[in-house]
Amino acid sequence: MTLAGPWTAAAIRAAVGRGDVSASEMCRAALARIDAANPQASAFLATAGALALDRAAALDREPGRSARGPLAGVPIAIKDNICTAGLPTTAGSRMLDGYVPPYSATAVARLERAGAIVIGKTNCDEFAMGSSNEHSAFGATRNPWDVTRTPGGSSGGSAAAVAARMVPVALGSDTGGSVRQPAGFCGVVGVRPTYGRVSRYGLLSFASSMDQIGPLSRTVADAALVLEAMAGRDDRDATSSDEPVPEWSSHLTGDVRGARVGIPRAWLGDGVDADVRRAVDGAIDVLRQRGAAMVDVELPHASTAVPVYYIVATAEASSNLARYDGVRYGHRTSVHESLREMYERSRDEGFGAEVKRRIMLGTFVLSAGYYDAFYAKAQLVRRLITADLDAALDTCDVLLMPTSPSVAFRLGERIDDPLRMYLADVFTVGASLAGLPAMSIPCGFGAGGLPVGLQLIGRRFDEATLFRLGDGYERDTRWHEARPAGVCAESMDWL
Amino acid sequence: MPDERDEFAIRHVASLARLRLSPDEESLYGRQLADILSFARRVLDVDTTGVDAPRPAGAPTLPLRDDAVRPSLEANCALDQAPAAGRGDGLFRVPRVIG
Repeated sequence: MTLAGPWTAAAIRAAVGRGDVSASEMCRAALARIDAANPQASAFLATAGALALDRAAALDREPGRSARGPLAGVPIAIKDNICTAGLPTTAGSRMLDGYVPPYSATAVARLERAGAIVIGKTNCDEFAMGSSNEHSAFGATRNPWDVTRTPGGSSGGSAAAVAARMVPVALGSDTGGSVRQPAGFCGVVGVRPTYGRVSRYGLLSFASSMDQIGPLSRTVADAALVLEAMAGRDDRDATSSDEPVPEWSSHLTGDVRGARVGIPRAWLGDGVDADVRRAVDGAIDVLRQRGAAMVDVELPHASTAVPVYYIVATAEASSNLARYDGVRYGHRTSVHESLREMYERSRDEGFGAEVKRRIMLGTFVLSAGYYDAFYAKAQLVRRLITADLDAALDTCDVLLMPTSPSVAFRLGERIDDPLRMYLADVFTVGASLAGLPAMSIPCGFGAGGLPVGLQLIGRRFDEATLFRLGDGYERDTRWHEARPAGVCAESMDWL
Repeated sequence: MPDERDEFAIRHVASLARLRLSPDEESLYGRQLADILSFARRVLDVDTTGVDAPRPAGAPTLPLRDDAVRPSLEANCALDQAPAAGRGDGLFRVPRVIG
């Protein structure tokens, strides 16, 4: 049969519910599409193959198609730092090469319960540390819009997989922008939920006060659909919230009238490329014409967000990654005389350069004599950054800014200059430090025909307003329908 | 506070982090980390007079669950993940610690 698209998650669920297509057919189509496109994009580290087909077949055997759950038959890709029982979970690290977790993350288990079919694991920067996917121990993912460029990171594999039409939706994780930045670079939707909205159980810890699992998709409605299926309190994560989870996807009307959109103009001057600014200005006009009101806001401490983030995140990483010691799981060196030497050689052999840099930076800012000066001070400045954002969101419903100051950069361009790589996180780390929800949506194309991402930041637990505005914007634009010709050029029955 | 350009002792920090670096790595990471710290110093100039100590972002309160025994990962399943384990003993194996 012909599987003519466009196959959004919502369309798949409806088609499977009606019996127009089976979960098995969708699963086979996704696996075939991955076979065709993955050699160019390197988005997947592993596919679920027989496991996914078995699960789809089981779903097809269940009676009562429409009662099968809100994601029945929807193929989904999972970032490789999220545990999937029976499927490798490496977090892009040699340290966990060959590791197969005995349990699934709560987010994954909930999506499967909703009928989603886990189709494979996507590439990422090692332990989610990076903005380009070049820090994966298994080679970099390529941007489907231009395979000489980075897809962004650290959820670059998930973003590339959605952009190249290998899957309709994927999970990523966002600590300092790791869902939003690759979504922007690859021209897809990416959502960082409010801190506490999604359980972190089964997400390999990087910086626990900021890590959140979030969806990537081609449409805002699909992101809402995935988020509502996995959000909510989980006894296995004490920081997960019992805030009620609305059915966002069924309340999207396109009506943005009366919404107040705050623009931190003083912060958007220097350092944002002209093509990015043009696309964002265009998005502001679209929202205004739809009835949203623009207001100016100020974020006085915004320029300190990147250094604060890299102090706090690396401190937490140095503590979290102490667990990789070659004892209970992961890589153990074959050369050791003592326990201490075993720890050191195992970690030296298992970790890549960026992870070592961040562990050492974090160790330094927590060490005697420097803790108060760096770590404790950064936590105080974090409060000021949070207060700025909260105060701005008292005067408006969402904040609007680019996701990144530039379009996707070339592979290799920044790999030797970590500080330059960090500075490009300027617009994403604020929401992370403050625990606010944020979303990147496609808002045009810049230099070289590369996608530009528009970021909206909302109030705590007000994802509803992000989805409402994003969906409204999507109804007046066609950016989300564009597909990367290079990787999607061949005759496709999966679109 | 001392200037970390003088103080940043890469070998000491690597040792604290249980990382064994080659001389080339020490040189490269030492330089990169000094640059990053030099940039991070701008945080030190921010006036934080009167700012309260931080609390975790998001969750205003951390609920406690009942202190009850519940099923968890079975011991042999955990041992299966280990590079070296004595399954029969229920133990992870490590190099000799006491001489």
